Amino acid sequence: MAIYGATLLNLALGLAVLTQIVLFMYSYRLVCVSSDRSQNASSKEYISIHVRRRDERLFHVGQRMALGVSMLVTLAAATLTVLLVKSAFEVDYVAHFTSKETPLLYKFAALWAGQAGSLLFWLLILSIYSAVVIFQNQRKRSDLMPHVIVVLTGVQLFFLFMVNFSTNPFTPVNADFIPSDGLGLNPLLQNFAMALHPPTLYLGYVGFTVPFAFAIAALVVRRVDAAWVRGIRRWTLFAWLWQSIGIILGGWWAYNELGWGGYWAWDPVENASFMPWLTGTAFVHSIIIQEKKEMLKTWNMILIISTFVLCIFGTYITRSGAVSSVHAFTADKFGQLFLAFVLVIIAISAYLVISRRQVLKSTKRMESMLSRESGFLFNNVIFVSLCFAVFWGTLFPLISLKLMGREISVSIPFYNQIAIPIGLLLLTLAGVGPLLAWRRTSKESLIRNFSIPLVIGLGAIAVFFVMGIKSIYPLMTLGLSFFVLGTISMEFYRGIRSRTKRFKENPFTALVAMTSRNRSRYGGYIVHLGIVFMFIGFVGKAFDSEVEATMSRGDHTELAGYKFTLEEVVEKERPNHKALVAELTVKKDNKIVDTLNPEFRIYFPRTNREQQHSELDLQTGIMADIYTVFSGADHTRGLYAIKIMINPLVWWVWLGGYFLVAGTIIAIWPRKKKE
Amino acid sequence: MNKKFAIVIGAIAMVIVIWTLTGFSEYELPYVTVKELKEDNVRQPGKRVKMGGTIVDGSRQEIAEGWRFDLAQDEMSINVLYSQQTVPDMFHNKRVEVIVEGIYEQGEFHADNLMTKCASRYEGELEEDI
Repeated sequence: MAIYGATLLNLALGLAVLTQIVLFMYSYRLVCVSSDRSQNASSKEYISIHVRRRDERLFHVGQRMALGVSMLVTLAAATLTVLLVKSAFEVDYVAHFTSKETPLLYKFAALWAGQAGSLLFWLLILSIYSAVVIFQNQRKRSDLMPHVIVVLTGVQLFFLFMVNFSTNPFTPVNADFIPSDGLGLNPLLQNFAMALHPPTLYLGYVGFTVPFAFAIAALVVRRVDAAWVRGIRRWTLFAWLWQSIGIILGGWWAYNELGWGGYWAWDPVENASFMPWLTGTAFVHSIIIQEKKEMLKTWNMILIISTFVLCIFGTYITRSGAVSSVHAFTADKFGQLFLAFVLVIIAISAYLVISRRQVLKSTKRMESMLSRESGFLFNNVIFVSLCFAVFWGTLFPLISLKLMGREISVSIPFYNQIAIPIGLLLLTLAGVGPLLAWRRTSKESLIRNFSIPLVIGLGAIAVFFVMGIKSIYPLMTLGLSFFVLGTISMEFYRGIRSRTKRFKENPFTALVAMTSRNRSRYGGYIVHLGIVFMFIGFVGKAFDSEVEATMSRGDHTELAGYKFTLEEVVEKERPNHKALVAELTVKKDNKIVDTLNPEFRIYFPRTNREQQHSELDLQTGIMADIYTVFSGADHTRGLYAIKIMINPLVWWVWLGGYFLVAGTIIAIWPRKKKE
Repeated sequence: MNKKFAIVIGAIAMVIVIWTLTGFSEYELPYVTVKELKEDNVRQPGKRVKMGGTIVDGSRQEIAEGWRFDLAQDEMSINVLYSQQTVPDMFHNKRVEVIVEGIYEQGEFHADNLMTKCASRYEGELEEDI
């Protein structure tokens, strides 16, 4: 059956090449239609008719062929899924990432567990998106579409090339036997969030291909006004939403599975997903200016091109293993191909932007430093600069290797010292920006809009200071968070009040009506609210505490006013692992608050591949999480290593995530045609 | 106005860029090889460095301060003292590749940070019937 999958990928590659040829022939009028002369009597018209016309049939053929590519890719992905579910261990990929004991859900998830499979998965998502784009635009006669399809199939072509010639997921086992069982999925990855994290991130990564394709098409046909931007606003938000969810789920997984009590470590893989998110966020904001003011056309092009390039780059970093050591960076063929693809994209995009610089010039100018436009502009510069800092830090080992001949990496504090102040600047802008007026803001409106939030923010700082928070960053973050909360609440309050006065609605109806009338605005505020909650959560990191203890039954240890007693350790046999389950009671003021059950598991027991895994347990709370890890055991002697952490305010990070998702969905939600 | 804008925006970007480029030296963490550590006397003891390698199977030893193990790289190996009891799950795997951060002193590497190879890149070797 693997042979069918491989054949489908071959066919898809061939068809993608043909699609490109056909659409090129269409765009460059390589086949002309001879028109019906009899209808055009006058000689003048006769001449004009003889100017080569585009053959519309070619476009339709090209479109269908592109759909065909998508279909073949979908079938190939389905074939691999069936092989995974059926445990066809004669296929190398299947034998590497599943075993007989692997639960069904994770057999599906194995599709994106390894390099070859995840490239096919990338391709699958792109194929689905391409098909959706084609269907969405079938009725509209858009002159952008042929070029959009060329770009989309062009990207497909690259990934098809990769899965056909570089890392084919259907390659048979490289041995003269068929393994009776596979290696199985790494237990760390057998977690619900981890099963969902890659697909969500990919939905985001791949999603940015669509706005990129429209940007390139707009450049090719020299129609770079606000129209193309309006066309891709929802796609961009859609991609941004998934990218955000992917990043949050990744952090959530690290927090709930890895046992170091944090959710972000400036790891190259994390940075790889964060960089396109930063430029993408800048883009989401700056297209508003192009929509409303027809400004920043070149800038928007550069942003979406960078975002797409960073998405490809991110896929490479996560999928190549160029993570633990950058030595492998371009050493293998896989890396060289990716690098070549990135260079081709940059070269073509740069040529298009430079050769179209005349049409990209904006006719309008900025009028004041204190305007909505300038707020967006500042936000953009800061987002992009932060992206630069992250990029520099991530690639510094490679840069230093080339320039100084020695591989030097940077540690986490480097990122923190830059990202914390920049983050605070962005938080300030999230509060200030939306209240600035377009064009210019008067002094009166500044006072009217900002005096109350300013008082709230300063008040918050005073209260937290009195409560004992003395360090500068946490105080500033909390103060700014309350300031932004103040500005957002005032916006909602004003909107609701004006409706209750004018239409005599009750406040709740007014809120719903107002939000649904101006979805992108109020959706945006809700996203900002989410960001504020996340920042409140980040503050908690400054107040973490932990204790490590070797305990036997009946022992207790204390942390942050809590008393932890190891009551019992029970041994359990489960289908694919055996586990030691600890029973840890948590007491405060001699009252039992909770009983936590961290586990120490051994996967693949009694084989030579035994693998230890600590399944942590935690109690989440609005103020703090109680986080326990069962990190080691000497069961015969009855000694157990337990790590306990108190992580304040982490809950707020996840709450912020929910707000971010809800706000973005509101902003994307389509309006009814009538409106 | 546009010119004034360009200056302000340029200035902000410049500040952040310069800050990024210069704010480094304190946080630099050179990668070193075992060979360099053992032979290179130039490197003053006490400087933080980063090093990768494979844990020698059978050398893991749990001690009061944390863990002790041998890290192999090519033909050479070095004794590592890791100052924490909690280690990543994959630490215990066979032939596991790790990266340690810390200080080299008196023939021993004192690590306070240990990372295993990214979980999603975990690939074992297939074996005939077990």
